[in-house]
Amino acid sequence: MSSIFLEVKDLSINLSGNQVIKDMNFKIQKNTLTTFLGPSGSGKTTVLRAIAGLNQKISGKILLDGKEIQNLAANQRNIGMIFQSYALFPNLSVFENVAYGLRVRKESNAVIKEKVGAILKTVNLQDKEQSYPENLSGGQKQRVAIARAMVLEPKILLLDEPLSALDAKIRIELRNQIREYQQRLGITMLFVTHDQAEAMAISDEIIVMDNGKVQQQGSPLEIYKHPQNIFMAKFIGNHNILEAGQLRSLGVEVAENDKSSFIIRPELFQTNITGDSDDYIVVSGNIKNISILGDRIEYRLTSDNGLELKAEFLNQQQTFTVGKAVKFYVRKGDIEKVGF
Amino acid sequence: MEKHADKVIAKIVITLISVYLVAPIIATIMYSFAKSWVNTILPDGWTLEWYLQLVTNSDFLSALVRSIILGIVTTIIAMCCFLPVVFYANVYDESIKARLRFITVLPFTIPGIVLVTGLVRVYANLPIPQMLVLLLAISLLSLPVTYQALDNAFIAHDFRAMFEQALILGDSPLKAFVKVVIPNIRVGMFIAMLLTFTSAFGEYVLTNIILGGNYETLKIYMYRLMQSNGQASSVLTTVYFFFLAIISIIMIAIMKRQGNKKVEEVGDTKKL
Repeated sequence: MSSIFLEVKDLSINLSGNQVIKDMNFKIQKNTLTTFLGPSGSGKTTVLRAIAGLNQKISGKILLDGKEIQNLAANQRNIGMIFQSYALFPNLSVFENVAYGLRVRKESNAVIKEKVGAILKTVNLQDKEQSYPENLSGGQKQRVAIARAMVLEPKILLLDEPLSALDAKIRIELRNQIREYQQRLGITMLFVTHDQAEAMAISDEIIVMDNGKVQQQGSPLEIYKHPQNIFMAKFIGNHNILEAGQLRSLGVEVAENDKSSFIIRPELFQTNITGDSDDYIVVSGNIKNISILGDRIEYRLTSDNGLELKAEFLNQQQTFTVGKAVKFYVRKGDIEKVGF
Repeated sequence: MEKHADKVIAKIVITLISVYLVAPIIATIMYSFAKSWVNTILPDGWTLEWYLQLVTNSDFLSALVRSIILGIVTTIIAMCCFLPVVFYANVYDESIKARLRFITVLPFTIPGIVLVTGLVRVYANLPIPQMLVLLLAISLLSLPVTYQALDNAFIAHDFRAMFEQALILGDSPLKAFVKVVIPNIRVGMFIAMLLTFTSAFGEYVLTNIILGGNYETLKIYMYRLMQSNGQASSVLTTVYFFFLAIISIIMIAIMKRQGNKKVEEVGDTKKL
């Protein structure tokens, strides 16, 4: 059973006179992988650095395993961190890079040899012990950085956009490996990224940030299916966002004074009705544009009443051509209401 | 045809410039080994007598030791003062680099004599040893070369992340600096130290005006010798020239090695 392991209470951070983090609150459970997701400049790395102790000019509380750590120096927190640039020490071999923290802790040579050997085996770099960082590929460097952090068995491992410098294929491989290590070794991880797909793929929980504030926290599915506000609806996924009036024009009953926005997820459109037709709204229009998304196809259509909408179908399903008149259906119950 | 003529002209110009620059050096070196060289194209004979005289001259040895001390102490002061500043600017606050660059240009724009007059006026009545004033002044004069060499050393890696990583791995800031930063800027530091040392070692204007005859360095001694004994002076000039040449060769070798290493690194990365 998971329990609260990291808790951030009323965290505010000023950088160069600007309040970049505003009264932030969130909790992270033990042995989970939580992702900080948000656009560039939203404050993700700033919060991560505050947790690591690299930025101590903060107000609020940071509790790790029930203890306040906000006043401790970075070298007293027993937190691991992996930087975007790997931050390997170029003058040290892979073995010595990984052994660095153990040597600081004055572990015996026998213990160091055993622990470093084991962790290098875990990250599949046992044959690179004597190599220097300059002779490693980007993916190997990142695995050394992961090994160096994990060998100290930190209470929590912070990862600051660790995959952003890698190409797409290695990125996917490495993110799966990180998830595997996390689950196999039972580490609590806090992972920063601006890539939604990455966050969705590996996280137990996602904390979406914007403008120094938490916009929403929840499981990937929860966040995707039920965005709490317009920012979330726009940032997560590829939703159709409609005003009350626009929805009314599609035949949905919406109160006159309702100022809410509504989302229709593109993959919820159907090409025919299954069940009671009263449960559906019908969108008639013409295909304006087609995008092949690998296993899916995205159609952009202009409805007869002038709305621009996106609909996605698996590409084995029926295909349409640009300009074709179509009718798409969506369940009324699948239309989500979002706040501001 | 026209291209050929251009090449010939270029070769002639380069040869003339080379002769103009190298001839005095060769003449000085030959003169330092000459028994006597008056009204003849070549010397009457060759000797090492002037060199023996110089190395057994206590004034020369004292001046040499003083110059070395001046060079070493200035290098230590410059490193202690500028290295932390350059580190801070590169790791924590890049915005101060523009101001630092402006400051480093000042020693070029303020003539030595103006700097000395200012220093003497400000510090003459204060209980500060003149030697200290001189050392700090020479350190400041060496700032452009020291700063640039140190700053270049920080370009190669993400030192902020490396330094912070060492903190997170449990080191104190001082230990992280010594164990992670210094080893990875050691080549740049070495070049900065050599440049600072040579500029302090060869300093003349500040030393002569602030301390004058009280602290005769090699350059001051050289100047005195020029007025009394031309041959001994050429010996000293030759020794001085080779001393600087050796330092330059060391620096070129280091930089070339670094350059080759970078090319190899790029090759290795491409392979992977």
